[in-house]
Amino acid sequence: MLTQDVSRSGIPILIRDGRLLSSAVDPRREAVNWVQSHQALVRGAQAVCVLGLGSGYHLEALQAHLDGSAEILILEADREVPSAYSLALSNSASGSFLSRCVVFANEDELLSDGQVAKMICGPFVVLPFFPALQGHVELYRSVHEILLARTPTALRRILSARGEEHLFLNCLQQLSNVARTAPLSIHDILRNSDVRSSVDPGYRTQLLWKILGELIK
Amino acid sequence: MKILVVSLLRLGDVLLTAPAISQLHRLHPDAEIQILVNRESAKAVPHLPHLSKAHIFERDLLQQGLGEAERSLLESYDRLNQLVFELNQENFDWVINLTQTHLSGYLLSLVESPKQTGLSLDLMQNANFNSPWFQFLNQSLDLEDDEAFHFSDLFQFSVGANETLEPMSLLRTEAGRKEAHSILHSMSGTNSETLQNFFAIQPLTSDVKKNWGLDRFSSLIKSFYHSHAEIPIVILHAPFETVALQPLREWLEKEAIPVHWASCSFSAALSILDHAKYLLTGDTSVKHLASATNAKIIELSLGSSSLHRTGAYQDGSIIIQTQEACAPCEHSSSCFQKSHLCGERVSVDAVSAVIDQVVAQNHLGLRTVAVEFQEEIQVWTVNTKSVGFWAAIPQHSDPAFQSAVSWLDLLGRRFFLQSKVRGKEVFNELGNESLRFGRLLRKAYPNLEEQAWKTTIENFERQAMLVDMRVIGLESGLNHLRSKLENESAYSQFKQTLLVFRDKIRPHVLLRGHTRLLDLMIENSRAPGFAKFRHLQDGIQEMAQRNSIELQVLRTLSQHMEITK
Repeated sequence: MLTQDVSRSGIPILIRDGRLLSSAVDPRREAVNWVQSHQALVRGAQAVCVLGLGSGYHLEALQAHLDGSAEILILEADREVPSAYSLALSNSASGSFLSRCVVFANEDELLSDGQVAKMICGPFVVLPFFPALQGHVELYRSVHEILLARTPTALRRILSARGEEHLFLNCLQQLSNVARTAPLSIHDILRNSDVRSSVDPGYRTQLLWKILGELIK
Repeated sequence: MKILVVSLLRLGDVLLTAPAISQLHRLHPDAEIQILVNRESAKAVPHLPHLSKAHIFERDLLQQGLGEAERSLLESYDRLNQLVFELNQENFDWVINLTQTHLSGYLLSLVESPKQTGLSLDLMQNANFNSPWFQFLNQSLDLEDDEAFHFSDLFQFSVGANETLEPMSLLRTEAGRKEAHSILHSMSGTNSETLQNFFAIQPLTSDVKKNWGLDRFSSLIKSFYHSHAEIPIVILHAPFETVALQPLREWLEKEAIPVHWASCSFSAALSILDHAKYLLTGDTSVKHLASATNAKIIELSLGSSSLHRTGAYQDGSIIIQTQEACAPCEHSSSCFQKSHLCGERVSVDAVSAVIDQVVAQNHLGLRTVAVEFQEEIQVWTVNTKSVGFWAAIPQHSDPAFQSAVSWLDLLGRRFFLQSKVRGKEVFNELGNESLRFGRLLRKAYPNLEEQAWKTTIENFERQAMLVDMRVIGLESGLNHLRSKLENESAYSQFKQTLLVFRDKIRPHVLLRGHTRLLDLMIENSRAPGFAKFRHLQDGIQEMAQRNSIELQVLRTLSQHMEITK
């Protein structure tokens, strides 16, 4: 059950099945601390994907920090949270966050959403707000893994959603011998890519990885 | 026409592209010129002339995206893909890569344009230089420092410069001017004036290997103050260097030596230098900034500083180079010596003595000092006006005419490479250029008697004739080889001929460049048949042409000795 309460600092907060979706003491301070701890990650970002709508204070803090420099997209697995959030926090910001909030029941539904599909085709960073992930921890963990594309399964999944499997065909074939959940790095991509012909659709992709490979030498 | 200049190196290297950009503008006044630089070098962009737009290569962000597990594996890939997309949206007519790295080479093959100049690399690492100048740049990394062209010259030649080279010209920013004015105004001690004609010193550099040491700077400042109390001293530094300079500040206060401290931005440094009379620095970026001002540069060339490739691009600048054998060292590696030997070798007395002569404008005195201290330093004066390339004239003794030989080699190479781009018309300029070269020699060796001149030129001519005579034989040997492309013993025989010839010309200082060419031809003799033949053919053709140019220059000189006076 999703209920509402008031924090010690006097602002409304949401509670899912007795678990707080934000700090019960000072959610705004918690939000600012959360943003500060992710400052390096969001520096230079063009799009930020936040896991968990929660009570929304972390989104306000993030928006203030980004100051319009990056798009924010919120992913929420609990269908009740957006409406409860809307009722509990009837401030001006809530509407804009709700329009950028994608509610999903599973990974497939998420990846087929128009806003998500657009975001994952370009550079973005993922920020999980852990207090807001209560009740759907496993689903969020799986989504987080897919978005980071750092396992063979996740990479395949995200490339499929982007319609770019053919660009990485050679690499994905090689990676099929690697454990599905083994951590991937650029070294694995470089090691397993072997496009030689300039007419291969993956030729350009591999050149891009070659450039990136030069940056880690 | 839309042109993209790619310069993905450090701040100082980006500044070195300024003359080439001016050259591009001179040759193509209607062209729209854009640049691609690293984020860390972006502060140079407002100072580069004739640019309509800058694209930024976010090196740090890309590296972070690759290395941090909490970031998407595709983040950097997408970021880079986006940059390439943006570049291609511009529809460039010409892309010029002034960066000789694998990274920029791969990038160039992703940027679509009908004309490309500079390294591009495909996935098989097949290099295409798209310009004889960049092909030479690639080979010249193994050459001695004085055998190479100054990078700013080479960049200008690569975009089509003829004998008219552009100087270092940089734009001032309004913010930089204001900041500089405020700093210099506070130093002047008056209400209406700003400090002028001071001696600017930049004691720290971005590369520790190029630092001379604060203790030496302390003694030098003390010595300068006691000899030239009338000239104000300004210590130039970036705000983040304030703490590192604290020991120098305390020492100068203790010794009661009055100096001004200018903690300033990069843009303000340029505007401050506009008011300076002299600058002493080992820092690459500040040196290049000063090259666009009237401040007389005294450059300390230590560590990885390669004076002939990246020395101050300003006529009349003084370069003090350490005599330590390991200098210049590799740019990317740290110093392998137990202590900073190249800096330690350069004494305060030597630098002070050079500065005293510069302030006194005593050219003969400078030569005397250079000879006196030549165990520890080499002193060079930069000449950008006498001949059609940057030249450093040795003030220390040069009994073997090493510099003259290097210049003749560069002159021959310049005409050879230019003829590949501009065709034979370039040789119309050879007569005039030979006379300019003669004037440079007169400047460099002012004490040489008339007879000694004659003998030297004749001696050079005799050496060049050795090549001239042998080249005909080599060409005929090559023709014989043409019909036996797969015959290994024929190749071995020809290689033997080259080895004998190389041994014969090795002792002749003038023929150093040809010896190197022969080295390359002999080394490459393991390549497959046709490639090997082609390589030999190109090498011998280059040797013949360069030698013929050098001979023409020498003959012009011996016939017109009077004119060059």
